[in-house]
Amino acid sequence: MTDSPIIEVRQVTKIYRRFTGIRGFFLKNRLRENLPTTHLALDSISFSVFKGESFGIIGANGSGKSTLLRLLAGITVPTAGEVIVRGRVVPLLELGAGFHPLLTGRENIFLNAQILGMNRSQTEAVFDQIVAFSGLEECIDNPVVTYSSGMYVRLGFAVAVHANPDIFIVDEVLAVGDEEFQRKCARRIGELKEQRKTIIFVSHDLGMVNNLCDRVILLAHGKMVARRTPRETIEYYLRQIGHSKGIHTCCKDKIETVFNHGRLAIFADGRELTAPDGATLSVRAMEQEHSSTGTEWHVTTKSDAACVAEGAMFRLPIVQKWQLEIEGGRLVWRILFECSQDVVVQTIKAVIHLRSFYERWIYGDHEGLFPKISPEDSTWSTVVSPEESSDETAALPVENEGLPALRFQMKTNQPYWHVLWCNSDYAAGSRVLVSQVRFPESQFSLTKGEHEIMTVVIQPEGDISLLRSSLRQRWYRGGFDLGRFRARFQRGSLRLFSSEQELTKEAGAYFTMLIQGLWHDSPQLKWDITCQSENSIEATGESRRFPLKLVWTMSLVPDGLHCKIRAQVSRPLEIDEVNFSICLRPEYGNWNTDFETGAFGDFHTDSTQWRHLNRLYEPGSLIRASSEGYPTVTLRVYALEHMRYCMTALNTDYRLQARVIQAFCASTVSKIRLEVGEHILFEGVISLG
Amino acid sequence: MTTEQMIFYSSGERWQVRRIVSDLIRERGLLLDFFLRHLRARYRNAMMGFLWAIIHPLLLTLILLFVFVVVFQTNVRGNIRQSAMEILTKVIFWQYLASSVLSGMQSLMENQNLIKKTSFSREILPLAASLNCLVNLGIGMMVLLVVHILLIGTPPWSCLWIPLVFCGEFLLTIGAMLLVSALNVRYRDTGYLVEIGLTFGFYASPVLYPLEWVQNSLARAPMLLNLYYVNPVVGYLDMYQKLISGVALEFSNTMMWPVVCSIAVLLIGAVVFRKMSATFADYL
Repeated sequence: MTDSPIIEVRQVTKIYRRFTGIRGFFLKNRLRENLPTTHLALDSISFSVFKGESFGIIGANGSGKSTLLRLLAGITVPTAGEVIVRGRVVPLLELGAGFHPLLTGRENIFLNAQILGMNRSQTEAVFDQIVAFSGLEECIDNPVVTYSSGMYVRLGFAVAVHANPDIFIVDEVLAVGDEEFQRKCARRIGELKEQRKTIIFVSHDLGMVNNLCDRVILLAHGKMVARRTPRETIEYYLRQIGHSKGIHTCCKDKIETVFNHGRLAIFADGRELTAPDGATLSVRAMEQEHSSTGTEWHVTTKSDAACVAEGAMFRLPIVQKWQLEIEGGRLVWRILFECSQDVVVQTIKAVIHLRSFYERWIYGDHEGLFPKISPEDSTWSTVVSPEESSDETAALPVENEGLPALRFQMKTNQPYWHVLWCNSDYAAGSRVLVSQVRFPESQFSLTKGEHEIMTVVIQPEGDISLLRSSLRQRWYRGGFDLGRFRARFQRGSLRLFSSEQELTKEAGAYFTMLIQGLWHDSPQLKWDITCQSENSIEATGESRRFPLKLVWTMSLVPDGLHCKIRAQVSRPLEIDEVNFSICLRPEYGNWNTDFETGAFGDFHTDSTQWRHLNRLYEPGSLIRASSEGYPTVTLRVYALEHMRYCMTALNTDYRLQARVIQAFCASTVSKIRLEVGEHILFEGVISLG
Repeated sequence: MTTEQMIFYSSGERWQVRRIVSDLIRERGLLLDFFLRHLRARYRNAMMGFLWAIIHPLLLTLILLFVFVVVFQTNVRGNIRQSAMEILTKVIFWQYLASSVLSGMQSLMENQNLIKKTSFSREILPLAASLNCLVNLGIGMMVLLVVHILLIGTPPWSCLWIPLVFCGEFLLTIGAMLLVSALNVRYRDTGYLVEIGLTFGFYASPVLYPLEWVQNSLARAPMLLNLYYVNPVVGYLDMYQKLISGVALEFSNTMMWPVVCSIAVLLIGAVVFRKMSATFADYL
């Protein structure tokens, strides 16, 4: 390859004359000082692009990007300086620009290809490919006036990418078309890059620019800014717009975070750890995702190391409140929701995009590599998502990159919660940590008032082995080893596992009380593990509504796991009903109690109620669920003086799809009255196998 | 020569005047495609399709025949059929010039999008538009021939010279069209000016009347007559009239002027267009 660059831009200046009309013509002399008659769009820009390079141009609106592209495409000429291009350019500035609405798709393909510099035989050679790529086989002989705008653009893009140019100019065109087509485009651009075509790329999608471009320049008011690497240029840009929009940057202990309209960028030692998509929050409600970036934000309090930002969501009656603080070498990201009325929310996800330099994950006592992201990856793929969620995880970087390992700690009081790692698609090219809080429709939603959703603590960590062992320790907290089985206590619910599979579902084994007509589930309390030894755990859960504290003691006994639940009451309290339930996988087919045997049977599609399957309601001591592939789960209940438990088997509603074995104690005559002091509410043994 | 070394595009050279011809030869395929696109698209959604191209000159002929053969016959002396034929011919040639200039100007406006998005020789757009007018002219000539045969009989041999004379008018038309359409991009006033100019020119040229009438009327005002002759269209229309009435052409100075003028207009038009076309995208 010869060394002359494929594109040379030498001292290019472009000045637009402002059109003043006849008024300007006559009043020229008098008003000359007041009216600027010219606009400097580009100011002495110089750079070269070599064959096979991908070259990105970023900048705010009106910074001169389009003008520069026009000059490169030879659409207009610079006022001073020179542009030299040594190859055929195909601009994708606006797709389908030359289509004639009355002509058919076929005729337009030939015309458009001709405009892009292909002759007839060349076009004929790739005609079928073009049609196939656009996916318009059926209507290629219809006039394009009958096409939808999406079809129009698809056809335009298909022609352009098959024009086989040496240089490709890609503007924001990929934002059009449906998702499927966008993926196709991104893949095709990835392919062109692999074929070492020269690509000039202009986009506001910094993730895509970063991923695709070898070099990036930033245009700001017609002037060119370039840093050593694309990454640094983009970082500079992000900071620049961050400041200019009055968005906040917190910085302390070598950690820096830029809050930019519902998106966090995190830096350590001046290097960005997050991918350009940053860290965002996504709320799923009414079957739609609402991203924190699509929210009107303002920073309400700021200091050097902390800030509070509030964002009123457009289509939900929720004000998001982010409290950011850098403290003790870690970033604490606390998310609160202020609801002005009751809202039904399905999930709330904190999504953290890390740069692809992070190549390993640690999750519990497992560790692994992220797969490589290739151009074919058009969707996200889950890397690790164990059924047994951990509230701590970590990402480790490629060794000699000089980036710190990152430790993530998630805290939430919401009962249903899950943490997983993904790879993003090729365009974003990032490792994604998703910390997700789920609200089952039938049970929970956000009531009016303030709610603490979750807190994410992000901590750069230098010592990897220390990180590893501390994560492992943390993982075993709340866990029991039952030989072939494991149990894990997490915030008011006990979940059972056999090797890798979870036997329980949803909340697992939990305790619930009906007080003043409201069900009060143990996962709703505020739990804390107060004491843990090798074979016993004591946890305390405090109710936020009633003067009540539950103390749950679990210990290993020869035939299983002994559970004892005590209530500490500071004021007398009346309870209508209590039960201890274990929600199991739907594979469990049969149940039996002291008196009865039965099958769980099918879930009723029409039912939103949980259905009792037994007929006899006598105080008993045992209930068992069995299935073919899974170990039998048995719940034995000790008789208590003041409370007699009945055993019952239930099917949940159709949506939840779980089998439930339950011990319940309902007050038939009077309510269960708890005086001030401590009371045993439940004692039993769960055995497996 | 490898692709790396070959300069495909240089902002300094791309729009140079000396490259007009080579550019047009290189992009002839595109010119043809634009021309065909026009032609195909023009009558596509019309029920009678291409028939319209024939109906238009036919109707024009019929109404002129009505005016001359029916209305004037009873009031004016002389060979009415012959003069009707002459006027018809001149109207059609004038229409070619007028519609070319207008549609050339429009073609740049209509294809703004294309100009703003892609880089091809801008001359192609007005040229393709004028080719379309050429098609209309051709159809008009056919109609004319048929009418001539029906009305008077076989046209005289001298008519074979008409294409040669037309070559001169063609150059003039192209030149004027390029000049006007380039100016119109930057100064939109041009469009209005041209419309007025064409109406004015229609009466200031011997379309509806023979040149002799003007010569007779202005015999005593040679200055005014010379001014009248400045208009190069005068010479062409006079030649058409003579050829259709079977008068052989005699070489004279009055014949030289339109030709010289046409070539000059073409050169000026082409150069101005080329210079201005480099920045068309900035003004659209």
